[in-house]
Amino acid sequence: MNFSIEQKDLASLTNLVYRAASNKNAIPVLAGLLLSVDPESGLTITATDMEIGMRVSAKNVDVTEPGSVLVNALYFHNFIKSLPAMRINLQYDKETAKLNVIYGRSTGFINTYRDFEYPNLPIDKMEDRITIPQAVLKEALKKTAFAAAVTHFRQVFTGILFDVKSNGELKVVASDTHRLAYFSYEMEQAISEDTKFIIPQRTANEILRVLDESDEPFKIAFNENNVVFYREGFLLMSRLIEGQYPVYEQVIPQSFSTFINIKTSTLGEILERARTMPGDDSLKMQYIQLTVANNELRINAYSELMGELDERVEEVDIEGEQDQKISFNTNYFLDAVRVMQTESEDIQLKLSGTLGPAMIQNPANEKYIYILVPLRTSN
Amino acid sequence: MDRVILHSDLNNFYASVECLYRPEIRDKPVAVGGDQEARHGIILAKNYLAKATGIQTGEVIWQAKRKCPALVIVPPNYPLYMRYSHLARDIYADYTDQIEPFGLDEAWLDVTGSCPLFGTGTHIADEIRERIKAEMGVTASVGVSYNKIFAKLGSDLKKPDATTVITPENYKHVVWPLPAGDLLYVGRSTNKKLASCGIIGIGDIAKASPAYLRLRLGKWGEVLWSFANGYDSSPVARAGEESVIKSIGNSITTPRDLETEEDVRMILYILSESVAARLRDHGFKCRTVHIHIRDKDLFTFGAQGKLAQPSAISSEIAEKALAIFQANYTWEKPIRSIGVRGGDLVTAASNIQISLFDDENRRIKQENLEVTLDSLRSRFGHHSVQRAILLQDNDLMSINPKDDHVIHPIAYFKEGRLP
Repeated sequence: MNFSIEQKDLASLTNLVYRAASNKNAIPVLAGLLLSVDPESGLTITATDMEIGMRVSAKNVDVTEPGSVLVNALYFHNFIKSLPAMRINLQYDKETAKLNVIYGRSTGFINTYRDFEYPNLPIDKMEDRITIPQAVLKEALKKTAFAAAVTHFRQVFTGILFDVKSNGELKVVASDTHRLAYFSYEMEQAISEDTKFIIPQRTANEILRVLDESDEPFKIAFNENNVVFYREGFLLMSRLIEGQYPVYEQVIPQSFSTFINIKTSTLGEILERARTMPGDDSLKMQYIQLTVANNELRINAYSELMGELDERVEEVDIEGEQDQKISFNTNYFLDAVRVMQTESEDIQLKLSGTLGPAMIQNPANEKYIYILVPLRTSN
Repeated sequence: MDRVILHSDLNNFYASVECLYRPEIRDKPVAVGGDQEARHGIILAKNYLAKATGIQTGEVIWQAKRKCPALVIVPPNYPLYMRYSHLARDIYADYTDQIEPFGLDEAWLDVTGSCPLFGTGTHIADEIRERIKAEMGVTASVGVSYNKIFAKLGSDLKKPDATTVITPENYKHVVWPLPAGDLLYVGRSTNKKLASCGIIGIGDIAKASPAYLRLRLGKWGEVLWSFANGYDSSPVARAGEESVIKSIGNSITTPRDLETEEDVRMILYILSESVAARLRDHGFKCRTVHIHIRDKDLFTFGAQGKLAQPSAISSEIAEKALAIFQANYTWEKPIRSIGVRGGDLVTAASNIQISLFDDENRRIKQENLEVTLDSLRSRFGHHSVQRAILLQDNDLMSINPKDDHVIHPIAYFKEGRLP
């Protein structure tokens, strides 16, 4: 194998895929990057830890001799990214089993795995395909993935649900049982039947690193166990989370008793201030209490350790039932407000009683919903 | 100034109290033992006549009977022992407010500040012994020293009804020749480790280098070294200052071996009801559930799991315990005893994050129901209300873990921390 490529092109490719390689030593080849070159398809780099797999390719290489090698992902990536920006040449020496890297008048080499058996990414037989613009997929994941649980004894709550309806509706949902983020989008095509799949949070974060704001289409193919996200020159395969996602539609409340409109920036600032209050007791949960009375909204944060914050919210519009107190986890609330800050000046908060779930929305956009369940307090 | 610390140990406490109430057995070998019928049959305490035949605490009743066929076995009467324990504490309270109970029959007293009023430590110790004998009819051994560890050692040296004084001047003669196993926290396995490096007596521990002991025993090594040299400075807790509760649990050796999951389910419900009731008594909710299983061959194992919400609801605790059991137990042997423990406690007044997929109103109703059951049971007795699941088995139904097992283990170091 012998090829030449611009250092910064190679570095940006390895930067995308090296994290898919395994950082555990159980199966040595999984810590590797598979580099393959041939004159027709150019350079292809593959990495997988069997949970997630990525493949990137580039055509702008000069191939002198086709072939493939397996190198340690982390060593290779760290080495390539530190090289000077210039055209570099990589040559595999069969006798020493080393990959020589020639940059200017300097050289280095990287050890390779001999006689390796690298697994194929299981991407055959994937028929169900949907296509959505990159920017939409980016928005969908950015607005939902954070709401999934980091750990939960019910695995499905650690993932992000893709609920695809046959009429072309796509719903992306994530919940850790305390809050739920819901994003809907109408695709241009219809599919044969309703399908659902749940991707791990890590997969969502890896795709987010790749996506940009363009309308370039991104394709999604899936079968029972795996999903593949791909576009020209990039492919990400991921294991799906097994299990039945609960019927989320049922827990999205249909009717509300109180409607509150606030400036997003005002609410954001209050919550950031409230977040400086440490959580008391062993739960360490930071919380705020909202009091709605006399057409006024008060937000209170209290900490035995630190002190108290009592805010009267300016420029607020309240409709419906008054005289109620309701408490929320400060950070869960703030997560939603931060999402809203990117798109809307106003935020609408709908309440359904002291113990019922609340809804946070951009009043001008019904496509995104954030459900937040209150805290049960002793007072 | 050196502290003056007493350690009072009521001699053969359970057996002495029993003999007090049964004049007819006073001159016989007597042991207090678990209920033989219900199978928790071990010797809990014995009097001097029984001790002379070689019977040991913790021995199974039939073994003890083999050593001493004339042995009289009486069932334990914890409420009575508690009463006597409180009587002793009332006597201690006349001399100091720094009283730290260690089990029902032992207590440390810090009388440093009381000496100007009542005389020397030895004098107070003798007076306490006299009063216990005259007012309660049982005897006590008292150790007098300048730290808690030596005071406890002292009370073990001469029995019954004696005072032993250990001072900074005489401890090398009195304490150091004693076997290492007499020191608090030197159990069987530590003793073995010590012996393997030639450390036999307490003096050997004292003279070894703390760094070497740390190497062999970990951080306990240094603690034992400071104990052996009398450097223990842990304070005697004030009366009424209770140790912080870390977890609440109940366990039971069942009247018959458990063979099926349905049996286990019943027992887990019985235990969980008691755990939940005690959590509510103390104003706690638990976030984790631990189970502890001992099979017929006395092999034990434990496992734990996290609850979705902090809870003091017995059905939530029981179902979690059952789920942990099902996930971990393979039924190789029938089960002899089971324990359920709620850990990771939070106060019941803590805020609780409601779950989107649970009905919190139903949980509130459930909590109210259980509080009502608590008050029914405190008025009309534990067995006045029972779960229907328990009606399947009369033997198991008779168990009342909450009232039958109220002895809590006590740690020397508060909050489980090393000094």
